[in-house]
Amino acid sequence: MAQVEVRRPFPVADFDAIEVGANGRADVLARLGPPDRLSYTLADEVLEYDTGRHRATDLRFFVPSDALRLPGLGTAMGILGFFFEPFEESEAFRQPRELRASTAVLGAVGGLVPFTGGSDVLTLRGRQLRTDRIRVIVDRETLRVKQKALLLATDDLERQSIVDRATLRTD
Amino acid sequence: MRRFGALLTGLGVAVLVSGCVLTQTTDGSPLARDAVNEIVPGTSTRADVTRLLGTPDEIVYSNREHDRLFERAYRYERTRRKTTYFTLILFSAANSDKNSDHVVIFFDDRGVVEDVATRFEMDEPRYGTPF
Repeated sequence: MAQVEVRRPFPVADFDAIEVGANGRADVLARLGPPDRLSYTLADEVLEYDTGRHRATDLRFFVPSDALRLPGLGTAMGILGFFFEPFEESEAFRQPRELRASTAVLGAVGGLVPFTGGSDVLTLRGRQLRTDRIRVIVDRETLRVKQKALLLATDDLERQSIVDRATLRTD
Repeated sequence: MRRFGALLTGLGVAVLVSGCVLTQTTDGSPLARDAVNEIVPGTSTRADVTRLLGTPDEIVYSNREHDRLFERAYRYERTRRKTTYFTLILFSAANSDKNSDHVVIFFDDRGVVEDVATRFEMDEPRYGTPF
């Protein structure tokens, strides 16, 4: 499965136009819009804007549960799962409820099992998350821009071939 | 004849196990542009903001010394995501597009609106092919 989610591109020209010391918070908001993250220190107000790409790839193997009773196959699946940690999905890749339900139904059909049965799903997962971030620091007293920064690929996460085993039951 | 039957069966299975799903998900409180436009920096208060826009999705507190939990900013966000999901036997692919209406309102030390930042893009996400 290839899933691509791209947030709005950075307004780089707007970032370059922000003048440290001269522009105020209102100018930043007018150019970049509302911040994705807002936080405060004792002296500063920190505005952060994100954009990025999330890419997920999955390859699923459907194994009818009955087939796992075949000598060796069930053991092999168990050994394979032993060497990999349970997969925890990050918020960026979490599928909405409708997709999970559709996946379960299509997976059962794809496993070529009767609707009263089930199948084991072995999934190889790859994840890539890249976030670019603009950070603007504003003085709380004067509301003037003190600092600005463009941070590229702040959350570059990549996992390869993570094996995740789940059981689909339709009975 | 047997070969034709096998081919027909294979095609039937391929049709049965393939699928396409289009989903649209909307999250968050409704945001009316007219209501946002009624908020006036320098005049409107927190009470005016909550009367016009309702409970904020997030309250940002400042932490200045001797500041109790002062409500420094309110965030409102309504998000729409459109996803195209395609599956064929072992392979599946998806494309997701998300946009949002986003409003952040800043308050000064008196609790009066200081700045209003808005972005209205929730109607812009589109279905797309994952290829």
